Amino acid sequence: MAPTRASAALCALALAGTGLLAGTPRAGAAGGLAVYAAASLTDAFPAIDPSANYSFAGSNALAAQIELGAPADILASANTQIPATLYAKGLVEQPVDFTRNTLVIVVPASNPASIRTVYDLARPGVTIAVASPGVPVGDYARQVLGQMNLSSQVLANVVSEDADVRDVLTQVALGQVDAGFVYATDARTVGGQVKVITVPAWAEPKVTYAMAVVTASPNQRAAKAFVAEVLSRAGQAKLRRYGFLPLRKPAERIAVGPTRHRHK
Amino acid sequence: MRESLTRAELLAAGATAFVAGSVHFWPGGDTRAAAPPSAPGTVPDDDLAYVRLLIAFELLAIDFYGNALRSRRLDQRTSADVRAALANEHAHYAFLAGTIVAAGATPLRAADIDFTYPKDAFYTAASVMQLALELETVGLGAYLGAAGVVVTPALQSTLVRISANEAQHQSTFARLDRKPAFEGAFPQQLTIEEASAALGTYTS
Repeated sequence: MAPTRASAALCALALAGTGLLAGTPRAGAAGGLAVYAAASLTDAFPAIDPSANYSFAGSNALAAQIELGAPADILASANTQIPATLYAKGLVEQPVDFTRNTLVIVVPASNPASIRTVYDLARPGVTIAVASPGVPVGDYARQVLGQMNLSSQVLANVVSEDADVRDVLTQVALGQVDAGFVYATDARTVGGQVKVITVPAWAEPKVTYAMAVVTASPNQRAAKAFVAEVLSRAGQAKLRRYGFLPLRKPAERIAVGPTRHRHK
Repeated sequence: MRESLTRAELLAAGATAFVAGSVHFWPGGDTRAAAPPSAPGTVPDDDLAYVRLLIAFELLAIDFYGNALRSRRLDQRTSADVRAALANEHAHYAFLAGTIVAAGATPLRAADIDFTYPKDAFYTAASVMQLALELETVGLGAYLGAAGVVVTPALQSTLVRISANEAQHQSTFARLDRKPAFEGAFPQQLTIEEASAALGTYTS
């Protein structure tokens, strides 16, 4: 299953152009606002504001750094809980939701384990990568498995617990595992190198991203302007271009027609 | 038995059912509680996986029938049938959720799922009945599939009873949708993958 060192190096070179190779965290250009953002925002955020100094990693790792006094101006998390926890501790200002995502399963393009549905992940011998507990994408994956009552069988097949979603994606794209849980937006970044299998929506947690200005930031005005930029029509359009979903409006689901007909 | 329930009665019945097990409202049904299998560890994971899926179906049915009634497109007789079916689905949910709780876990709740329907699903009584029939066909297939696979006797017997109830719903809504009240001698059983995929059509 594991690729040779040479083939892995070649694949790594191919992936480098996609920004997939993981560090902790991955920093953007020097200077500007310090934005600590979930790894899944690696491609979208620089498109919204190329001037900021980004650090991309698992949201939990970024939050831990902020708790230790790291000089961040903004935290953008792949869930709402982490910013809410920091807000409760007075470390960030009131968080705001800014986008949504979808959890998917990715398999190598060749799909060597013939994975068709999430239920196939429970088969003995399947190898799976998942982000560590505490990392939002890892928690979401575990919630899905819990809702489908597949936790014990599927987690028994986990061979790699990773620091963030891009690490999981890299492992799958390199063929080092048979499957992994990532966001739909991440799967898009590696094109034909992986195949996407949907997670049943009935079992999927609501993947909502939230961001907040760090209370200790000396750049409050610029940080608030960044948040406004992300929430603006143009910012939201850029997020959608990278596959993120708009925040759901409360009454958008049900349409009732203007005319009234009675059934006999 | 009355054909309709007030909202307060329905909520009270649902709350009672959640605590005590299943309560059947369909005319001629058994109103005795169907107690969920108790004690953690008595129901294997594969059975619970089916229960989880069926809970999602019940939440879909409850959401759909609630929207159907709120649409005000149904006449009195059809509304009564929908209310009765809704009460049954609440009772099924209570039994299934109780099974999950007894296993030491937390069942899905309505707020956990966003349901989606065809754009014109609630425009007319006919469109409501058409979708009701579709959903009941999926539900019946899911229950029949589950009943044929689960290995916990108490669970299996209750799933068979619920299958019969879902078949009553299907037949009733088929008649209201001007379709044959019963089709094949052997209704289709859905595998867990098929049922999950069918459910995915109505969730987002």
